[in-house]
Amino acid sequence: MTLATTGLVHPASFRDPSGFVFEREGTLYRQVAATFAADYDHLLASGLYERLVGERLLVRHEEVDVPPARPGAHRVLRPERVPFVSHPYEWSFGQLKDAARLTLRLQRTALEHGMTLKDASAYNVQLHRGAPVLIDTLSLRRAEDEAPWVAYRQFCQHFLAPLALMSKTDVQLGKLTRVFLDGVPLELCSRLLPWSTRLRPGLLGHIHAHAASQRRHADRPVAPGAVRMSRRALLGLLDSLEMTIEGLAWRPSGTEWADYYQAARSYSASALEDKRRRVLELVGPGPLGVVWDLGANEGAFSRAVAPRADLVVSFDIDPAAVERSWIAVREARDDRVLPLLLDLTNPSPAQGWAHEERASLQDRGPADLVLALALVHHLAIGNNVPLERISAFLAELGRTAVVEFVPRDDPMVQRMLAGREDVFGGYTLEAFEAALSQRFKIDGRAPIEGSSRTLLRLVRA
Amino acid sequence: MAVELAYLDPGAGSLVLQVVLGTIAAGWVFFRHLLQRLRSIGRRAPADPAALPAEAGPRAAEPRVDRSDIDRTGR
Repeated sequence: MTLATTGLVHPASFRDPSGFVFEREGTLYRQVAATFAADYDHLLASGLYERLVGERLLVRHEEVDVPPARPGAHRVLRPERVPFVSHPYEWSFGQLKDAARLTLRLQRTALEHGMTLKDASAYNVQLHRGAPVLIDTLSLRRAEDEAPWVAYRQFCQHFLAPLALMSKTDVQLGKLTRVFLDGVPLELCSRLLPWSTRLRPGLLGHIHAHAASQRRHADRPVAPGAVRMSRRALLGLLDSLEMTIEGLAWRPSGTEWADYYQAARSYSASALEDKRRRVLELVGPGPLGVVWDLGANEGAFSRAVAPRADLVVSFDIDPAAVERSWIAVREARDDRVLPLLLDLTNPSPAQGWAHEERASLQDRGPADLVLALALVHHLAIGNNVPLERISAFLAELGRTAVVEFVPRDDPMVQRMLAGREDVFGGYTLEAFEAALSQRFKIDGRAPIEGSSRTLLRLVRA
Repeated sequence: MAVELAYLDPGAGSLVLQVVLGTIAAGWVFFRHLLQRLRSIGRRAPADPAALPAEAGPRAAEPRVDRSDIDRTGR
């Protein structure tokens, strides 16, 4: 973070001249620039702020009387803090689609109050309390008469392009958003989409023709104000984008891990119930604070501990599992579970400008409690990660942990070893405990009935 | 209102294209609406008046007026 006059400016908050986010004594603030005063005041006076907050589309803030971090402030705001900041490349198809819907709804509502979204970055949206919400209050400015939507290109790159690729080509292409932080280039998206998508009016217009138009005008700048657009046309554009987004679907089935979990049941019903009971005993009555459930699959254990936690971030590598978990969160209006995509063997790195804009997984921790249930054998045997390194990584991620050890004679491990050389002689419970003891104090053990598996409770040394 | 510049590059190709797409979309909505209006007008004059629902139009619910009284009083 950059040291400001009195506070630390958030490393991702430097592009928009309307203001910036800074932190002081553990509290997050947003400074509104004097040059943005008329727009900010209109946001409040027009009733748009109250409406958006009331409909849970915008994060709530309060104006506070504290010194600004830099000169030239109109106001200092204290926004409601999101307990875990996720990145769009950690979202499932449905989560990105919900964020796209939110952005279009915000733009439509803003227009009714004489305002507009001046940017449409997916990073301005967070999944908070079971739903997407805009966190950047300063994205809303007064609308000019007959002006086109300046954020149209960004919306298509950040939302429409990845959703179209995930829906029409392969869901794994959502990972492109991790490489292209300002959204998937439309030219690339157009080339990756099947030819048949040209028969769909929405994708033909907003992706293929859009890419062609960008190519055509690459060396022909348009003077500001030269392009005018009626209100009816602007609303038509939003209608068209909404229909295109709604027309994109992805059914969460058929991925490698979804099949794996369905094909290989690790527990009998009674053993699963015993595991659930013992996990709850080991985590304790709470309050647990922020919990990270690593390798959570569809989030059964995340949901089990959620009533005792402020938030359970439920990570899994499988897009289908995360999608199902998100659907369950939305249906149950569960505001304490946040499913996210994460490959632990290649977790989200620190990236963006100066490696500071988008925080790594470790930078967003440590969690108060880490759950690693039926995970270690995938790392140790499936990915050849030494037990000492697994222990060190867990110690970086959480202050305490509940970890399940799956021994070599377990059917799941036997299945992983079938057809490959067994070089895992050192994969034993004793060796694992020795590795853990370098970083943690093991203060609880519980065998799971009906299996040879063991649960361990760890407290960071 | 004076033209304000966006802090993001909106992209010349994107600006031009959205006007075209927005106009087409708005035109489509307009013609769809027009088509619906024409259809509803067509439905207002069915062959069998008895088939009209009671609330089909304000005229159907209006009470009959004996215009002979009006004629006699001269009002």
